[in-house]
Amino acid sequence: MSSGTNISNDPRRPNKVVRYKPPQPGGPSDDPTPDYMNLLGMIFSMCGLMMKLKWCAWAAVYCSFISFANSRTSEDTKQMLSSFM
Amino acid sequence: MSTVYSANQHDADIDDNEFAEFEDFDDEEVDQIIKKDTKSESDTQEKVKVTKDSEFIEDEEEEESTVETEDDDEFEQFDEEEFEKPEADKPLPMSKSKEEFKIKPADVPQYLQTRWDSFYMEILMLAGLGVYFLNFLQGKNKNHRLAQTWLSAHKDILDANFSIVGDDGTSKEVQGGTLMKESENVYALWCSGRSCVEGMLVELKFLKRQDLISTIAGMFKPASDQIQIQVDLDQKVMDKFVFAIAQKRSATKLHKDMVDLSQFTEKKNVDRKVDIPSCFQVMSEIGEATNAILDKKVCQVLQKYESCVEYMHFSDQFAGIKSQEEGTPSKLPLGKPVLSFCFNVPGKGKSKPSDMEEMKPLLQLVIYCVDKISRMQLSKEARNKAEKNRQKAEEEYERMTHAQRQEAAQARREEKRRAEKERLLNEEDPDKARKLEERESKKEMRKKQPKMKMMKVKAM
Repeated sequence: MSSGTNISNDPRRPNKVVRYKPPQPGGPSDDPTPDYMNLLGMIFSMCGLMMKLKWCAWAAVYCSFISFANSRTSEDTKQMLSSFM
Repeated sequence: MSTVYSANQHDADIDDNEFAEFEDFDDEEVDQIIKKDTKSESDTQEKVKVTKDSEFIEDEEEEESTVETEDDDEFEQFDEEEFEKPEADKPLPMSKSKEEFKIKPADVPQYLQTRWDSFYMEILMLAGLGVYFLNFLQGKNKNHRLAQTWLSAHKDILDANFSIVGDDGTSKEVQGGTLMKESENVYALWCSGRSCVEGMLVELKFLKRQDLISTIAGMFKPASDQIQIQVDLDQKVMDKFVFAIAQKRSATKLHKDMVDLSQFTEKKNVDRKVDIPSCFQVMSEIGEATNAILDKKVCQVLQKYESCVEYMHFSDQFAGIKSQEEGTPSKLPLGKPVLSFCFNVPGKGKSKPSDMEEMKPLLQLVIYCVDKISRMQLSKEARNKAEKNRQKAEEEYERMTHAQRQEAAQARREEKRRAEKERLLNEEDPDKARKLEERESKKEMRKKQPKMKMMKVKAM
C-alpha cells in the first residue's frame, strides 16, 4: 500500500489530482421547477396576449420571475431575457 | 365745464384704463376720484356713464369700418341693414366677454379622473412581486452565508486531507478555494488529491429560501438542509460488496431507485446485537462486510447524530439512480466504487450558521470510513459470494439485452433500406435518377440471377 511506504501519515497526494468534470445536465438530480415555470410562463403570456386577459399576463410575469429565482447559474441569460419578454 | 373737460381728460386716462378695463384696478381709480372730489356725487356717475357712451361710439366706429370694407364688395343698398344688424349684436359680445373671465371649474368627463380602484389589480400584483423579490434577496444571502460558514468550518479538515480543495475544473492549472454555486440553493465543492481517493464531491443542498413559494410549502412540510458527500474511490482499493444504511423513511426509496442496491442487496432491519438506533435500516449484500463496517466507532457516531445521518451508501458497483426509461440501457452500467453520504443539518430548516459547526464530526466520519474501507479485506468465502453475485447479475443482464440488441439490428437494416429508396426518389436531374435506377435494377437482377440459371440447367 503506497501510504505504508512514506512515514508521515499525510494522506495528501498532490500528483493524484483528478479534475472536476461537471455532471452532464441530464442528470436526475436537478429539480425540474425552473423549466416547468419557464414553460408555464410562456403559455400564460401567449394566452394573455391572445385573449387580452390581464391576469394571464401577470401570471406569466410571476412564472418567469420564479423560474429566474430557481434557475441554475449555468443557464444562459438569453433564455432569462426571452422568458421575461 | 372744466370739470367736464377734466372729466374728458380723466376719460382719456380712464379710456386708456378702460382698454385695460379687465383689471379690477380700474374701479379703485374711480373711487379715488370720488374721495378727492367730494363736492359732486353725480359728476362721477356721469363720468362713468360718459365713458360707457364713448366706448359705444368707438366700438361702433370699428364696426363701421369693418362693415364698410364688406360693402365695397356688396351692393350699396345693403348698407343700412348691415349697419343695423351689427348694432343689435353689440351688447351681446360685450356682456359675454365679461362673463368669460369668471373661471368656472372645468367639468372633466368621468373616465379621465384618476380613480385608484381601477388600478387595484396592478397594485396588488406589483406588491406581490416586490415581496417576492425581497424574499429572494434575503433567502439568497442566508444560503450564501450558510455555505461560507460551512466552508470555513470544514476548511482545516479538508486541507489536511486533500491537496486540492474547491477545484472548478475550468482553469488550466489547478487552484482551489472555489465553492461552486450550482444554483441559488445548491453549492458544490470538489476536493481531490488523496491516497486511494479519486475525488470527493460535496454538495450543499439548502432549502430553497430564495423562492417564496417553497418557503411557504416548507412551513407545512418541514424539511431540512442536506449535505451530500460522494467519494469516488480508486478502482482496486475497495473490496467487492454493496452496503447501505438509511433512515427508514428514505430506505425504501433508495432500495428501489439505486441500481446496485436493488440488484445486490436485500433490506434487513437492524439486528439487536449491534447497538444502532432503531430508526435505521440496513441493506447489505455480504453480512461479514456489514459487521466489519458497523464497528464501535461508527455506531457511536450514528447514535450521537441519529437525526443528522440520512443515509450512508458504500458500493463498488455504484451506477447512480435507475434511469427512468423502461428499457434496460443498451450497455451494462459500469459500476464504480463510491461511498456516498447524506447528512441533514439539524434545526429543521431554521439552521443557523452555528449548526454548521456541528457538522464537523460527520466529515471526520467520512474520512474515517474512507480509510477503513480501503484497509478492509474480506474473507475468502465472502469474496466468492460477491463474485458469484456479480456473475449472476451479468448473465441476467445479458439475457435482457440480447432481445433488445436484435431489435436494434433489425431497425438499423430497415433504416438503411429506406434511406436508399428515399435518395432514389428525390434525385432531381433525370439522367442521374435513370442511372441510379439502372444500377438498382441490375443489383436486383444479379440477386435473382443465380436462381434463374439453376432453373435452366435442370430444364435441359
